[in-house]
Amino acid sequence: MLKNLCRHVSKDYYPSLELRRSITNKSDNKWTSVVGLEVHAQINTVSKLFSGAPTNFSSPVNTNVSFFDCSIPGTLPVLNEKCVEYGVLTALALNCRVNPVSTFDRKHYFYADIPSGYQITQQRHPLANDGKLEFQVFTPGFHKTPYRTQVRIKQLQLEQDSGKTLHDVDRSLVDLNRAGVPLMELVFEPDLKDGEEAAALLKELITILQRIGTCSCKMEEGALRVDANVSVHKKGDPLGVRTETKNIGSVRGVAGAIRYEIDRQIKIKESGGEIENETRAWDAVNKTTVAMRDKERQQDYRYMPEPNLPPLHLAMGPVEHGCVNVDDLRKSLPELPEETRSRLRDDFGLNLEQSIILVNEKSFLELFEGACRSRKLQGKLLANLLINEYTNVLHKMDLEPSQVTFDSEYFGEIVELVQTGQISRNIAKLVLDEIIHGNHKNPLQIIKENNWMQITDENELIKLCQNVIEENEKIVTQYKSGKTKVFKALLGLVATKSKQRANMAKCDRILKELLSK
Amino acid sequence: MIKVTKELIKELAEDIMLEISDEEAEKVYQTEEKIRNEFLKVTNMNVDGIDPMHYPFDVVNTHLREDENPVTITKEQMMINAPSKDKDYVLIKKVVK
Amino acid sequence: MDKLLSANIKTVFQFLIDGRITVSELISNTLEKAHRLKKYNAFITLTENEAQQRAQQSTQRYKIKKPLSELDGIPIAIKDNFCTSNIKTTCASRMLSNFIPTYNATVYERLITAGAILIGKTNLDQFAMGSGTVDSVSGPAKNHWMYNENNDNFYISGGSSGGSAISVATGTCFAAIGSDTGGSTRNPASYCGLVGLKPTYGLVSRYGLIPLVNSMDVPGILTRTVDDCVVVLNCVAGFDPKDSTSLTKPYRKIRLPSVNKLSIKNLKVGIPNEYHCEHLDEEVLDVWNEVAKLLECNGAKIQQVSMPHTEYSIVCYSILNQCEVASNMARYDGIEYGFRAKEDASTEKLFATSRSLGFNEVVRNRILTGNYFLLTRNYDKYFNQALRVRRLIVQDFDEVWENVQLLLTPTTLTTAPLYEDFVQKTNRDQCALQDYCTQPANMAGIPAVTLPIKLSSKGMPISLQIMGKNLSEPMLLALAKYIENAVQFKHCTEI
Repeated sequence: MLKNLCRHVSKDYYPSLELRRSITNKSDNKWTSVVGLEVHAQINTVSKLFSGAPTNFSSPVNTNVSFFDCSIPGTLPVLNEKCVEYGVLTALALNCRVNPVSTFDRKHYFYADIPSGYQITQQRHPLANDGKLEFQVFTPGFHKTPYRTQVRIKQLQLEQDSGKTLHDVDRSLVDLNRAGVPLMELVFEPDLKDGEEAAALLKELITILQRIGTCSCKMEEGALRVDANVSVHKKGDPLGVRTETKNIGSVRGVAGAIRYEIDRQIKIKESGGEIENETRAWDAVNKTTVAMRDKERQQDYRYMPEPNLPPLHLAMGPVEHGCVNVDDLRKSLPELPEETRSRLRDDFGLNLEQSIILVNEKSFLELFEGACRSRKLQGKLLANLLINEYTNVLHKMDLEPSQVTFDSEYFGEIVELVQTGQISRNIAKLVLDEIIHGNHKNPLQIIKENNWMQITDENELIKLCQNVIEENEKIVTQYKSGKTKVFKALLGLVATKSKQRANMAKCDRILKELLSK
Repeated sequence: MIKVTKELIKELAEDIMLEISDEEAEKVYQTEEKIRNEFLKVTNMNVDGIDPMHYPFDVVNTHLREDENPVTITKEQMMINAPSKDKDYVLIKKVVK
Repeated sequence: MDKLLSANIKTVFQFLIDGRITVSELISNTLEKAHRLKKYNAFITLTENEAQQRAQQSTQRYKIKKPLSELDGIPIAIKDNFCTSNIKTTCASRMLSNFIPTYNATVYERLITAGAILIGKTNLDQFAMGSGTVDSVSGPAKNHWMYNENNDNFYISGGSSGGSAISVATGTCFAAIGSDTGGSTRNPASYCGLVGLKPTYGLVSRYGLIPLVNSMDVPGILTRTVDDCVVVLNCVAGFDPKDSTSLTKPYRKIRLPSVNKLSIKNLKVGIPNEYHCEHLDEEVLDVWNEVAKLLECNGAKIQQVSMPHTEYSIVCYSILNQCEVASNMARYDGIEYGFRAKEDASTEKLFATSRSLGFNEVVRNRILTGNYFLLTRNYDKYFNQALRVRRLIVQDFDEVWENVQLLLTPTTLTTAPLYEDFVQKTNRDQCALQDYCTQPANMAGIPAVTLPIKLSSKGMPISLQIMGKNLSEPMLLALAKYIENAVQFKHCTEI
């Protein structure tokens, strides 16, 4: 039994003791799950890693190819400088130790989409090692409050992507467009405990990569692919056998796949079975993981140094001689997500949840910062309008925030109008709805045209509330007989009667006063 | 320490996509045996503190390619030597994986 | 005309400039001779149409007195492992028997830009694995020295660039490009009585050279004279952005002084003890001694030196060679190019059958042993260990250069063996013997040149090798020119 374990679990896999945590898994606490991610991110360059062929995604089949990519004999790799820069930038953003000298290796295996019979990667001496990323874990609806955790990055390496094989009835078709596209492989230590942590890590990583511009992170295009290593063990026991679930194509998919896999493994172990060290695929339709065909023997990749690429020397510190200057790149790093979240809290008074949600959604952050640029706005209010009213409107129209370009000037105007009491929040929602539906007028115009200015005059409001009370005897009776919950309904009727224009805070007070008489 | 046998050679041949006869596996085994014996004197050398030398000299690579003006070859050029193809793809028998 | 075909490049260039012959005439004669000498099997492909077309263009240039360079119109040959656009490049293998590249190797590109005219792709050992040019699907190349028409037991041309050597040695062309991984240019040059240069690693671009061992391969040059060698080197050497191992230091064209201005006074030349090994032929040893004495008499300082790790070099070379070969051959799967068997079973069976049929036994053997040594469990013990010892071998050279400027050694331990004797041994054993003196230069990356000295008692060429430190080609070739002038070796080109 132990022998089997040793064969399947590499000695790199054991996390440090202090990072082992217990799982909250349904009924009992006896199982601990351990999760490690491997992320492949396509580097955002115009040409490939070792050849000058283009990298754009939607090119017709076999039109982004060079002689080197189809491994025509006699062709040689020449390293793309920008790939090195972007690799270094990413390593710095993830607090890694950038290695002044790194080398390339050939990883040998046969498959139709690897024309040369090997992939050029950096196995032995990668570009960077030993990074660390702290991030917030908060899935609204799943977690009550956000919490902070961290994950270690074992290594960051540059490597080639493979081509694609499409399968027909009785034949397979080889498309080499993707062959040789530059990848950064990020190997994370197994410091995560479940799918939600993995999803949070991924979100943080995506935000970082998009900020520094090194990867588009378009998972639907395959620009970012995730493999999840999952194992479970009982508290106090050594690590369990892990499985690898490959090529998960969305953030929620990662959470789902890991959750499924943990449950599956626990079920097997609880019924006395053994987990096989195997590779699985995520079935996003049925929301399960399925075993992929696997060889009986473990394949030996026969790593060998790539002889056509001399070691890569980087200039850093006292070493000036080298292709790319690490210190210069470090200076050029933009503000990273964790810094932004702190800034939102410190400078704008947002709370932790708000800061997390805003940083996680790029369009929200852009709207927020755009709106604040020319007006003095209450940060918390602005954030709330984004997170609640705006999101609501989008959901109704089945739109994602990233699909909409909303003028941040207009948004700021709307918030200011709410702030100064000229419109209610409900009206604000209506204005947002108008604009998203295509109304090009500015918010003030829309409000004026629709007669949406807020009613704040006491007398008018009293009249309104009085009318509602008179028109709804039944509900009033219910309220007066002790059913205080119906108050909300009455308030709602006031809002509707005023066509959402009434100042609801005032109405709340007035209505209560009137009803108490 | 896994013993080198003809069977191991055949397994290796399978991994690297080569079909060989028993006779050939035997010959390869003999060759490997010979090399291993000849290499013994090297295996036993003390090379403490000596780094492996991948290149004949310690070259510092300063030439990298600029990321601009991507160039592609035509489909015709790519597939001119392909034994089996259609208009857009290189073809092979169905791969099961 | 035949005499002109045996002349040197400078002479022919002058004839062309003076209008005494045209390029078209020169090329026609060259091609005719190539056909006539088919029996030596120097060529796999003759590029007649191409050559004649280029000849016409060159002729026009000479008419208006605007040749591109001193190589304009000069017939050359290239080993069939260099990619030449639209011209079959087979590596003497079944695997690539129909392979037509659509790009040019840099070396070839530079030569045709200078106006040189390719008359054909030359024969080699399959994928350059061998030192005899006997393992070729096109049949063995035959040494024209002491060739007996009636008796089919010929002397081998050496390898793996045997075809290139024969094409130059017979006077069919003026220069040929070979490749040199463990001696593949110098070995046939030695057996065929030619000047064979292995330049410093990285000096000449490998782009387009179908690789054997990437960390040791260099394009090699075969000519009849040292001056011709310099002309070709000046044309092809220098940084190539398409080859990441190409040296970025700007190349300065070599201008060798004329023979009467060459002096070797106080030149320090080393004689490494370890090259005097048990299989060294007596006659070769004698020639080695004679030339050493000759140099000494003319003012050079000759001294014995020791390179203690020489005995380990060949077996380390063997490991590194096999491992890199195994890796380089992984691409031949019959998908994008190459031989594909008619196989109706699964893809994997198709790959395996194609590869097995496409490669000869030598190649298959080397791939298997190479992959064995690359297995993770073997990597450190063999491959990495060989790389460490490689550094020790390089250090041997570094230490020697503290005391001497050049080294003088035999090129091959014997003169060209007879074919029937040669094929008694396995390919591996042949290489081990033949490459003994040549592969250390590849392990260390240093330049080396071989030149013919005299004929043996059997009438076969005996050659010697000069080695120098990195980028010492000017000094190396200067000494070679000096010796060439002193020994006055007679080529055998009029046949």
